[in-house]
Amino acid sequence: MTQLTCGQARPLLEPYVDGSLDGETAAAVRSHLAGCADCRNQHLEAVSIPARLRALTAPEPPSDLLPSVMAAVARVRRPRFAWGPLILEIGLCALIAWYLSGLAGLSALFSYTSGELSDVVGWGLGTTQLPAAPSLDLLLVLACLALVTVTGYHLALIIGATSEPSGRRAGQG
Amino acid sequence: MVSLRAAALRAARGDGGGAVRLPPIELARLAGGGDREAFEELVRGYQRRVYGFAYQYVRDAGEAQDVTQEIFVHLYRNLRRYDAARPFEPWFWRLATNVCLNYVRRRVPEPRELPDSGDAGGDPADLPGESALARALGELDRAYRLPLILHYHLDMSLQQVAQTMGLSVAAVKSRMHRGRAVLRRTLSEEAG
Ligand SMILES: [Zn+2]
Repeated sequence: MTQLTCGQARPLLEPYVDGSLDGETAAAVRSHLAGCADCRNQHLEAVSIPARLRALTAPEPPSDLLPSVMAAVARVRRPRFAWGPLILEIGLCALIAWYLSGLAGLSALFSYTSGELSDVVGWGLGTTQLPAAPSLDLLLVLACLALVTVTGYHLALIIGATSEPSGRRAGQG
Repeated sequence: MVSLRAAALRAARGDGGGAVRLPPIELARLAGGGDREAFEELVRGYQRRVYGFAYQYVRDAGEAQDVTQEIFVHLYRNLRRYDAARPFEPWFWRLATNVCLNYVRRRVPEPRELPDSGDAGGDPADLPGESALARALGELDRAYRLPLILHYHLDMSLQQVAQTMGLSVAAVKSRMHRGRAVLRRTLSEEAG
């Protein structure tokens, strides 16, 4: 059987205590311990440490822990709080659809658009004045702009709420 | 369905029959869907272990509370991403561990003497009544400290520790052996 020095035996004490050494190495450790009082003391210490680690106590969590966690969580924005913009978006889409709906609305839009385009072309050629924008078209433009703005805000909310930096792997280094 | 869930939540809190208790995985699934009551139940069930874990890691009651709160807020933000088909505990402790490590990384290090003088009893960072083992554990390299806390303090199996730390069981065992060897040397030097 190989004779172990103290330096060789010491790092084997913990696996020896756990019974995870192969038979031959365990026998070598056992025989070293039989003849070395210092390592026997270290072995006693090694045997006691797992139980002492299990017995380590922590203080009770403070009684205001749960309320303070729930208060902190209430301040956290999650996408389920982003229903407001969605309702606005649906409302604006409905307004735009209503405005554009029906043959009358669509043909009116077409005639407005073609009339205005020819006016703009005429203005470019210097033959006509620039027409004033009709108020209803302005409403449509404003509704579209509002929709784009609200959607952008909504997307920012969703991206902000889902792009938490995921932590690095535990225990590395 | 909803009333069943509410009854189970009441029972879990002890103001009902006390027989029905939703398992953490179910609470996590409900909380991930936005159920605030289920989340509160989850916090109630885990606060003691999370606080104990944080305390063993940072060794300061106030900081342990900060870390615990951060862990739960982080949990709340990330629950939607939890896949209920997988076990909850390793996922949760992995998240808790990451928050704890990031917290320690961020905090301003306190000026303190390393216990190289052999007069560890005079270390200004000593907490009154703290055991030599707790102090030695607090000074242990975190690569060794973490598996020891997870296994011995939180009573996790080696398999769970391995999953939590993203390591093999053999690597966890080896780290625990080395960590315990450092503790043994520290304690026997202090005693001798
Ligand atoms: Zn020896």
